[in-house]
Amino acid sequence: MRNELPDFVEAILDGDQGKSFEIVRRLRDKHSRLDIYHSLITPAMYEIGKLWQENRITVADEHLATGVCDFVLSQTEFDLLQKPLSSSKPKAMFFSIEDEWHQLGIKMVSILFKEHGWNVRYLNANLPLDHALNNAKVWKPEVIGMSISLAYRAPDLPEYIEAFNKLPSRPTILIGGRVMSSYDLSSIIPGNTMVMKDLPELNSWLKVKKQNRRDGINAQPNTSSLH
Amino acid sequence: MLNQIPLPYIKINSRFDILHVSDRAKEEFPTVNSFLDIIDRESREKAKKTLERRINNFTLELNLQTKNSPLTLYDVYGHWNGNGEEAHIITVLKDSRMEKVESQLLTLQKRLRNTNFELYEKNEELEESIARNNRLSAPFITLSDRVALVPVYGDLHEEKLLAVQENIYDAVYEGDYEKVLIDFTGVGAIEKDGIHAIKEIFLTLDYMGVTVILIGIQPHHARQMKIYKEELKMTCIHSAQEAIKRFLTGT
Repeated sequence: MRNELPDFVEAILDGDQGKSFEIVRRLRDKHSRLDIYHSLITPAMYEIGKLWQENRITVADEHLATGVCDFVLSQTEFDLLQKPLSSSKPKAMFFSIEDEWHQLGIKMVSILFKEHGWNVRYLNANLPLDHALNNAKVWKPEVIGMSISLAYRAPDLPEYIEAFNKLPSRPTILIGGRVMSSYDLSSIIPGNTMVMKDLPELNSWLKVKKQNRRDGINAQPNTSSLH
Repeated sequence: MLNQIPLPYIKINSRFDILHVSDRAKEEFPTVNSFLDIIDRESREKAKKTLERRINNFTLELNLQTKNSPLTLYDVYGHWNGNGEEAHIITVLKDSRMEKVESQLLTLQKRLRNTNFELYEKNEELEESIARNNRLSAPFITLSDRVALVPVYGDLHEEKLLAVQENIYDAVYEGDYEKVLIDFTGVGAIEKDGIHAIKEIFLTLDYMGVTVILIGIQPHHARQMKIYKEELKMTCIHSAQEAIKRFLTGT
């Protein structure tokens, strides 16, 4: 997929939705969603970030590229939507915390959950705690996933985790995002919350979860940890 | 005079220490010693790289920390003097109107996409309800141990007949029926592929040892089914009333 990366980066920077999707569509014949998300879309967005660091593009270019990527992601999600939702599927809710507009990562995560047969609610980016909490109370998801990619937002994270931990439904809390791989935030993350370093790690977790479900082992929510 | 220019102005030395700030800069940014301290940590490397090159004139897009917000996007214009000992810097807040339009566009795009999916989901629901409707269009009613009645409703097309046939076969298989009365009174039009499907049902029931009797056939149904009349040995009775009288009394 390394061969397609430069073309893909160029296409999303040009705002060329058709070309970008065509590249992904062709790759989809041979590659899984995870492969494409991890080896094409994620590196492409990192490359965009690098170009900004090098003063070669502006934030406006970045936003355009993000918009095109978002569109492409939605297209890769499309065939998953053709399966009817069932209330017997496990539920997972995703969002980005307040003032956090980076949403491609959490969107990829939510699509992978769908792929593994979860009933997924993807709330918009930049969600205040009240909103997220209300949604969780009513819908009672088994998993609540949050993403954070701006370091200066990290201090707000414990507030969110604490609030979700108090829910009677005892959801498992997943945290991911760029900031989690570049900074050590272990001091503000309690042991019963899982930090996902990248998409392959998340995918393995989903596989284990699926297998457990099949074997009838109901892993105690909120106690499993990868670390 | 520099203090009065209507944009934040900052003078720095070669180590990026702040030498002077204009009134406007004082209003906008926190008081710090180094220019790097008002730059967001993720923009800092980018800023350093350009500043260290001491290019005469430079333009940079940077996230700066203001008094009001930890992260605000600015265009930063700078000029190093000849020996690279001092730089004059002016910061211009990115036009927020642009940002507004941009976010509105993204919202619109999202809305369009969701509408697309919602339509798709509605379509799914509709198809599901049509399928359900099809399955319910021919209830199997047991009149006696030997006789059953299947009133068929609506226009007949292959899809609907495929949905109802399973129902009929299961019931016939489990019971011990001799005759199945299929009532066409409630049938509207029969489509071409529908005729074929009706034939299939007839033949299958025949193999299962059941006599099929058609009730309530309307003239246009009869015309359409004429071609199969011989092959299928169809028995037609004008009304349900008569059929029931004939087959139920004495069974």
